[in-house]
Amino acid sequence: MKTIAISFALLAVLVRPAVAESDVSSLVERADMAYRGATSAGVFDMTVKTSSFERSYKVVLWGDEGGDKDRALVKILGPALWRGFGTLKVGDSLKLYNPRTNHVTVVSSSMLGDSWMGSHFSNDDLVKESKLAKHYEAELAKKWTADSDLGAASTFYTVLLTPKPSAPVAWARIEYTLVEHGDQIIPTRADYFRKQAQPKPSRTMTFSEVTDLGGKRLPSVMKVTVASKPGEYTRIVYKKLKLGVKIPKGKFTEQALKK
Amino acid sequence: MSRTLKLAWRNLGRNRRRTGITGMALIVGVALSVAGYGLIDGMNAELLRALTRNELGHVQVHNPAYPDSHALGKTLNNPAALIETVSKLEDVVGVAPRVYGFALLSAKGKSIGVQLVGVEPMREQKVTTLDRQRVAGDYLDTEPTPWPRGRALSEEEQNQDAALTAAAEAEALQEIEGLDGEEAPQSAADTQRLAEILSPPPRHAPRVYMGAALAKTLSVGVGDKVHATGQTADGQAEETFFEIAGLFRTGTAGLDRGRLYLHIVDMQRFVHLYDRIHELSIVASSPHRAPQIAAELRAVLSPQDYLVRTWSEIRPDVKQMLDLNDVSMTIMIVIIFFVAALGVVNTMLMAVLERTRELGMLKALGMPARNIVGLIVAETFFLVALFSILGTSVGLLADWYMVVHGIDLSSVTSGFSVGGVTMNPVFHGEITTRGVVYPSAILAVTCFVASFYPAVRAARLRPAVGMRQT
Repeated sequence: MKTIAISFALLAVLVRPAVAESDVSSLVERADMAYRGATSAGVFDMTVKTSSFERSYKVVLWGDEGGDKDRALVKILGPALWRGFGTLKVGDSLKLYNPRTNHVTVVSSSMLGDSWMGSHFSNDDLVKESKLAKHYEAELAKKWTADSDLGAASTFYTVLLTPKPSAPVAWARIEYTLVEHGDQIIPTRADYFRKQAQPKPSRTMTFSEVTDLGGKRLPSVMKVTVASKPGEYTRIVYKKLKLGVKIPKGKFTEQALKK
Repeated sequence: MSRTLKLAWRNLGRNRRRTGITGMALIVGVALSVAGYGLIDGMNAELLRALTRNELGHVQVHNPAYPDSHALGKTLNNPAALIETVSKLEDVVGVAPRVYGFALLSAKGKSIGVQLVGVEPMREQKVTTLDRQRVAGDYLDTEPTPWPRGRALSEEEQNQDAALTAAAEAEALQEIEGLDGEEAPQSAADTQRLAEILSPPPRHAPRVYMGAALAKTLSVGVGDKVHATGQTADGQAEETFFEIAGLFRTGTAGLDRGRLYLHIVDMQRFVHLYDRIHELSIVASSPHRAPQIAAELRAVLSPQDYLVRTWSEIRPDVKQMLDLNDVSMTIMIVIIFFVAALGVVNTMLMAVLERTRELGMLKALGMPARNIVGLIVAETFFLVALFSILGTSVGLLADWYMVVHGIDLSSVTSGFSVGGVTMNPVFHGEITTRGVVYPSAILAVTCFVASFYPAVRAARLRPAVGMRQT
């Protein structure tokens, strides 16, 4: 879910008029600076495929990265077995609501690494702040020109992110691949490495199906795969995304979670 | 020969102080060894008991893919027939089927991930001491909770569900656009109805048996309810309240802090593994019968479907530790007896040197060399036999104290863990045949061998030289 938040942030930021000479190290920082104060809301379908089952949810997500704490509310819209399930994060606190038993579970910090709703995202992904420039050093690994979903002769960048000393992050290395065309930049792939010297990524996220979302050209499909579980994935397909949305009052409260 | 024996016996009495001092050394050596074996055997038996009767059992059967993956779907085929097969084996005392799973438990604003274990309450009693580790409330009920199974939605219900999802999506989209959507008051009740078709709730909260430390973490006690969320084998989710029937304390932190037992049928319902099990735990009349029982099971069960392992195969680390205890004890005994044997050699050598004249005389009178060897060896034998018996008696006294009273280490520790197995802080000795026989036997062999040097020395004495000694 962090990744969802990151991608929202990335989407929110990267599509803003990009500076022509894309200084890669400042790109991440500009991304961070830009998504502070940004709000977003979206509806997406999430499909979880594991070795033993496959299931889909329709999900609505409200996010507010401004203010003192990051806030997010996720509600499951369907199917029946999960409709009304809610996840509320305010800063580091995470609550899960179950309408069947009308019970709110306060998730302790020891459980943050566990799977969220049976997907390949952890509870922690939802909670953890994702201010990349704050926690990671960025350097340009590769730059090339090719055709992309944004248009012919786009510029691709592979940015290497390594955590700053004592940064409270789970990854030792992240490789981001971004594509720039005209005034637009979108991510195409992110590889997450648990160890610095690891040859293959622990987790990979790919972005595809560029469409009109929230008034921009954005990838509408995100797919996460985990190296330790071949054949499994979690895929998110955006139906609707609105950036800078006006958040209804009381959206990030327990009342809204249980509504 | 009987004269030689008589002579040997009398010779022991000639220098009583020397015999007594050597004897004391032998008594101490033998008594220490007997008591040492008593302690080590007691510790080993206790460790084995703690390991096997807290949880493991002596032999376990799994799906071959289960131990590594712990995947919910890796269950045992045909558990009823399997239980029957196992129960018929000789020396099988108890057979307990189990189902494992995980759940997020939540109560009073706290939550924790725990392992759920479904057990058959009556059968489990014969395999583990779970019921006797109860510190509050009751053990599990023998009857499962009435809890109907769900069914798939009919086409009409699926259409209704799709319509409800579409309506919820439309409402969410309107809210995102800042428009006031029309509330659908029916939807919550309809959703509840559909969800209860898919997964009906239990008639009442299933009663569970929880680790005392876990209850403390969640600030709950007997009679309280805890909320549980878990993944099912078919990729759904189950949520229910459990009622705490009782609390247990095994002393093993991992179990007390992170485990919850419930009726196996309730557990099968919770994880949607109806009539299926993950594990069969078998207890024999003795842990040493485990390899035999495992071999008999392997002979009748297909290795593709059933993985049969003894406790020592499941926990080779504990097995190694037990073996290591044995080896270190044996090394200690060898050292003790090496010292004791030196004492015996010294005593006998002194006895020979002291009696050079006398032995020379015996030889001059025509006593064959082998009789002289026999005399010295017999003297050694009597010395060792007499004091071995005394030493063993003293050792057994110490054993008896350790068996009856135990050695209480609770002032030093409240219980400690050996290889992840928590031990009782009061050690009890155990009297085993080997513990009683080995020390005397090893001593007898060592001294028998050791006595040959003085004996041969005496036999080689030339009568004329010997008699000229003063």
